[in-house]
Amino acid sequence: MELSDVQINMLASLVLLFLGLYCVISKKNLVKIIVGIEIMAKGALLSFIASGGANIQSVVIIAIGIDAIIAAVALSIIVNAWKHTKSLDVTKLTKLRG
Amino acid sequence: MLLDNGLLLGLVVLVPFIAAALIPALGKLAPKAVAWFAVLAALILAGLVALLVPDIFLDNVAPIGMGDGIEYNWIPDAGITFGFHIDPLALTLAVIASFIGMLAVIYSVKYMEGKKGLPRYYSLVLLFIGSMVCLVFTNNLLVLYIFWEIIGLCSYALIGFYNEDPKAAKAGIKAFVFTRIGDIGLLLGIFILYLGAGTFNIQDIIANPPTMEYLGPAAFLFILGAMGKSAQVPLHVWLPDAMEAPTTISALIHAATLVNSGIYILARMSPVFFDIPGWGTMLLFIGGLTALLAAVMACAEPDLKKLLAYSTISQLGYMVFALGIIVNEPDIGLVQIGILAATFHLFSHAIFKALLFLGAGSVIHSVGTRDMREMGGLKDTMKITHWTMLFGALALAGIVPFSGFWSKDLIFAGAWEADMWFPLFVVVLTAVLTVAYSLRMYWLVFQGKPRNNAHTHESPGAMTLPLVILAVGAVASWALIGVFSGAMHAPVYGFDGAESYDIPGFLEHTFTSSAVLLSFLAMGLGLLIFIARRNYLLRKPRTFLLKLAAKGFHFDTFYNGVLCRLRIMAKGLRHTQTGDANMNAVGIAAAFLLAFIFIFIWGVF
Repeated sequence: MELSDVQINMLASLVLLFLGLYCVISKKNLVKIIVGIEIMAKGALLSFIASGGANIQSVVIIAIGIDAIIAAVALSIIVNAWKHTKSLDVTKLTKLRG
Repeated sequence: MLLDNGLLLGLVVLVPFIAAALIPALGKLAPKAVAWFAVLAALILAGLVALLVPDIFLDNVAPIGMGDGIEYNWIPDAGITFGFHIDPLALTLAVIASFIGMLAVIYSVKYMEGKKGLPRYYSLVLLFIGSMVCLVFTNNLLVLYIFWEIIGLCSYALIGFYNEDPKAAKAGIKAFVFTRIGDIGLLLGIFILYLGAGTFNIQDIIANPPTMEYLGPAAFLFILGAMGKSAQVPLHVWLPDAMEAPTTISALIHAATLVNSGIYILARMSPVFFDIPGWGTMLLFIGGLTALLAAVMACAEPDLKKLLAYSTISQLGYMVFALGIIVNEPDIGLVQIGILAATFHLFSHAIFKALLFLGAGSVIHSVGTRDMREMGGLKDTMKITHWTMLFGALALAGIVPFSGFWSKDLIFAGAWEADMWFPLFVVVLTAVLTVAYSLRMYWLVFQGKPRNNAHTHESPGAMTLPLVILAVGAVASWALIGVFSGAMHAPVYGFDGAESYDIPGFLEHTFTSSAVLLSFLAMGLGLLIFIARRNYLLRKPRTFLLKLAAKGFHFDTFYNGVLCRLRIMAKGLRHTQTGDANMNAVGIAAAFLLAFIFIFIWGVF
């Protein structure tokens, strides 16, 4: 069976999405979790590009910009978490435990 | 007309917000100038609003903003435009907000001198006043709701202004949560109206009201919204606690801005709702019950500011009551005759309540306590405060030439004409108690012998000047009835039920109506109660009713109980929070998967 370009791109974005999800679920290091989130975001972007459409370029560029903002905010949270606990281990950040 | 209407309205909207935004920066550069900058901004705003007065009240031109294209298209596709509709009702509220706000800001210069966080204070006060003016000027329900939320936010932040005091912080949160119950009601009501009418524009909704299945629930939800903001029973509990705020803020909240917004929205929307069966009765009973309960609580309250808070709740009850006076005229159908009385009482209440609060601030500033049992004998040391507070108390009690008498009598006369005997009995009983507790307050604070050792002194000029201005208002504001009722009566504004009086006609109407007997009866009985109990004013409440009233009729206990039950129920759910980021991520993924499966199955069947 011959795959079209769109299908290949969609499959790749799915792979990226699950890679990122696996990273977020299994990793204990805060920075690695952020990397996972970023991978997921890139997967979503790829699927946008794959779906095409007239104005997709501007949408994707804006989404990349927002993505960068999210990364910056998340990294600043990590810096503060580091200052408070002197570790990057998420299992130590359990203040919200019920 | 000095300025073009469009420019004028633009300035009215922008000046307070720009000033509020600049003040924090100014606080860094020149901390001393902050107060005077705020006074300047408040003066400019009051002046700009005053420029609108001649057009509306003297010339009775068509409502400004209707059909003259002064509007800002915000999200036109969804019908959200910031347009204006300025009629006597809106302008009265705006004048009250800007002028009393201005006086409160002038008063703050001395009263708040040297306190921490002054830029925050002045910035929020200007935001508060500006939002109130915008709230009454707009013609779009969604924009109105946005400003409704902003004044809620400002009231929260200002009630908890002394944020290092845990009591003040809690009072702020309480006010926020209780008004929020009403806010949710109002938001739902607005959307139900939108579903029915297809527009957010108030004037369009009045012109083409939706069908009854939309109107009924919307009317109920609007009443809920007004109950939250205007502190009607049973959502009144936040108002006495809000007394932790600086006294100027109490004056702002009680006289100029926040609590008036609930009355405003009821008055504004009443042309849509008033022919719904039960709307009038519901307002009569909510208003009457609130007025009576709050008056009883005021009789047992030892704290000066809380007594004034209960009196505010009681007077707001009168206004809601007046809005519920709807009669069935044989030829015309239902007519809302109470709308003039309600807005006029709101106007006179705003003046004398601002006076009472600012006077109370002057007293507290000097004595250093809020407990009336520790005051007494201030009439010699604080002459100006004494006389102005006396005027305020007499206006609150509704004694003859003071403003409270005229507007309260107008409410009685309306209820009398409408043959509403039982509700009338309730409000007259309230009036009796009002006389009793106003005199009690005056007596405890100013007469008798001093009951503490504080060295009392008169307050500085920046504090007494607003008091004197407001005291003149408390005596003379009723003389504006001619202009006011004339404007309300003018057909261009569409308040069908409002009568027009000139001053001799108003005097004649007041003193020839049988209702004036009720006013005099209330004065006499209240005076008798006060004289009979004069020697027992300092005694702890002994009768069952007064003991219950001193506890606020256990509304707080009830709410506390409900919250405790909720907390116990919520404890079981807490274990689902693991606090582990990985587990949370698994939860998100699982929910996403479930949603996906759901959509998939939905698509198949």
